[in-house]
Amino acid sequence: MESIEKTTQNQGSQTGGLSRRVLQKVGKIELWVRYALGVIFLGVFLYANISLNQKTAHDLAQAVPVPTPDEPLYQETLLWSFLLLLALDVLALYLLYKEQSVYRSEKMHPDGRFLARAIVLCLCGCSPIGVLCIIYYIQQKRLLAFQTAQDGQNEAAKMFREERPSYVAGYDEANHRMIRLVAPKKHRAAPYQVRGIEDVVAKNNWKGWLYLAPVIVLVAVFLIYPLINTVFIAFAKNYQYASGAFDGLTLRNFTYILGLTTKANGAHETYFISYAIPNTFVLTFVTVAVSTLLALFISVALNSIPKFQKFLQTVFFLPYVTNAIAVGMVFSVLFDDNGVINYIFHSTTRWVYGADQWVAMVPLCLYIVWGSIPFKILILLSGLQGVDKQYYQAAQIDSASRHKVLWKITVPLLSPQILYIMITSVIGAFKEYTHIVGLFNGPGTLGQAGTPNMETIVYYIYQNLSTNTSEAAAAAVFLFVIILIFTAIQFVVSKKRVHY
Amino acid sequence: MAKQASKTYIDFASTSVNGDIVLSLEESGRTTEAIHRGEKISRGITTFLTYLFILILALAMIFPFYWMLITSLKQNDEILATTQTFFPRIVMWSNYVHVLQVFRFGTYMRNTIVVAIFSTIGTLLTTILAAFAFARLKFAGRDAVFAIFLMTMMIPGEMMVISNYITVASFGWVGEGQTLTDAYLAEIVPFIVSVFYIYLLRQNFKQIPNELYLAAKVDGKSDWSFLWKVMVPLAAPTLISITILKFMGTWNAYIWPNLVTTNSDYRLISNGLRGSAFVDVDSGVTEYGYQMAATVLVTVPLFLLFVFFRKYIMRGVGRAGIKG
Repeated sequence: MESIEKTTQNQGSQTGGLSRRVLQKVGKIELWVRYALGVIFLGVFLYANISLNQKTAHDLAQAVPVPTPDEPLYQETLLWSFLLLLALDVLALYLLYKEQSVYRSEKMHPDGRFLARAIVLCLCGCSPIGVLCIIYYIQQKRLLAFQTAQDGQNEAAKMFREERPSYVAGYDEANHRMIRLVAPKKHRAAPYQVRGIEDVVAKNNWKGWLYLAPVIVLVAVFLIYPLINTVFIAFAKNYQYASGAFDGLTLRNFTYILGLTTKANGAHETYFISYAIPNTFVLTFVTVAVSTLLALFISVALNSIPKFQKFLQTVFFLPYVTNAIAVGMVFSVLFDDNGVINYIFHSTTRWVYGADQWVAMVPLCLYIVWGSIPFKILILLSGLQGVDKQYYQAAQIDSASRHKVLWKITVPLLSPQILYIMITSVIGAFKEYTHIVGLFNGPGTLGQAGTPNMETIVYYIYQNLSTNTSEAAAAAVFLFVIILIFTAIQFVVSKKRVHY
Repeated sequence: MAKQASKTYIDFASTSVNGDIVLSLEESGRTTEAIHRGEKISRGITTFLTYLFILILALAMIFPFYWMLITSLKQNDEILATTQTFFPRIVMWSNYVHVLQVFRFGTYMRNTIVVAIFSTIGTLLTTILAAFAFARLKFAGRDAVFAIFLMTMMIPGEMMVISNYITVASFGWVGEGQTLTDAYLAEIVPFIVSVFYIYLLRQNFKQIPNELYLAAKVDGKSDWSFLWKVMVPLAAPTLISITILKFMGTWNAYIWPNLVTTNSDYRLISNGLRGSAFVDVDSGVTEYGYQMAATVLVTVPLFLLFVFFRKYIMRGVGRAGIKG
């Protein structure tokens, strides 16, 4: 099997053009993009559809003829999704065709993955039509339910009684309600017989849903719905959060925050592109690199010392149990014009209040590093304590230098922990907010007054949340995409560098 | 005989991995005792340097706390003086007295504790129930729901905050005419579920052996009483960790309470700290002494919590790393 793989690889590279491996990679990426897009579009569609349905139900109650779904919002989104998914379909078909021709040139049969991809394409290729069908179905279902409800429940009750005579059923005329009495279960387990306890009791246990019910309700209301809604708001035109009204979907919110377009009233956004994005990236790259390296050195040192290890570990953990706002205020006192840092170093630099953007980065980065080291030390130290001592003994016999031991043995052995730390701290650093409030008491070095020169993406989101909801949502989606890309990059890198 | 013995040497060159070691007692001309002593000295120096490195960084870690404490005990003249003192000339507590009068510590403390207690109870209840369902019961769709839950963990909270604000506003908990109860509800309800804690507790529940469940079933216990009588006591350490971390989270919460409250009387301790202007009424100068006294008041309860529950806090935080 392996030899066949190898020969095909060689042939693929010899034939030039697109090799099978490249095609498979592109195909895989295409597949994931399709999944992601499908989920997002389905969410937006369902949302739009439900709001439309609410409108139709409302109109029905007002005895107005049922409007057909020909609103501009509907058509615009439909067109978009159609075009996007069609383009993807064309790409996928082209890829499949290419791949097949490669197979043919190699006189090979396509493998299972190829077939699976073809099947997925057949199912998802008509996804626009599928989405349309679902929407139409839901629409019809709702209208039907509404009409039947209006037609009269007596009819339904009569039908119900006729269809299911085995039930002792009644109809409460006053309240328009079905009363259903259910007969007791026929077969009961015989007493004193314990058999297949786990299978009978634990399997298909509908009570599981009861246990989950509160969590599912809360997660749906406060996690999943907001997610879809935020994506939707980011694309909504003239969205008003109080009434929920909007004028269709648009990409303008994104282009506006990126400074590409202006609003109708001529407003032009510059802070996001000139402050929020650069600040966020600088903060992320500086603090993650510095704090990870420092934490690595400290934990290696802590692991090697014979005494006071527990005590010093506790000392290094102290910054974790502090209030970020409170310590931010302490740092602003430390870095005050007349503060102790300037006193020690005999300088008159303005670090915090009224400071230059990049000068103010220094105390901010120091503060963030100070606050993020404890968690990393904790994780790295627990990883170090699990490392087999034999590696170090072997290194000692080979008289490997300290430097070599650190980078060739310790770091590779700690790579799972380092990966975890990197992912969590990159995500955390991209969401920087509280440290800035603590240190500067506002978005800029002049506090609440002046330009927001210390603003980050998340700061921008919170500032615009209640006034320019759509822009805040667009910034949030932007942040989400960036975080997603960076996490994906880290995972790809880790495939090569992390040793489990 | 003795001369011959001293001339023999061990040659590792042919066996060493790097091929660069020649260990020769004769060539170096040193006795084994001398080599041992040399090794001891070099090890001593390394240990000393390691301790030095760690101690310097440990001091840097503690320094902000130390400075916070001594600044809170200084007079404002001394704080603003050009020569800084590393210990207050006169230790005075008047900053604390002033802060306790001006900074409404009691109000913020009460709000924080109410919110912390209710959100912790809510979180514990929902987490225990969900973790039990995910860990022990088998029903159709369980794994799918769990996968969706895990996926939400990867999404930054900022995505949710916008819509949650709108949701809470539509419940009538935010906006004009907000009462204290509304504020509490807005601060508590969105946070009584945590997917991460559910995940944590589920892992813990999974470790409890299945035989216990079967034994309880044979004895006629229901799932419900098995959960509360057996599983919850066995998972108590994790539950304590969750409780403390949740408390700390509420104590440090800043963004959300700031967002959903209109009256500063309804806010939590962090908001009170940053929102209060510690300015001298007569001169308009910022009183760093007051500021630092207030930060000490906010930091001390956390430290006490840490002192008493160090094991649980560090395990709760560390568990995340092990499970990745």
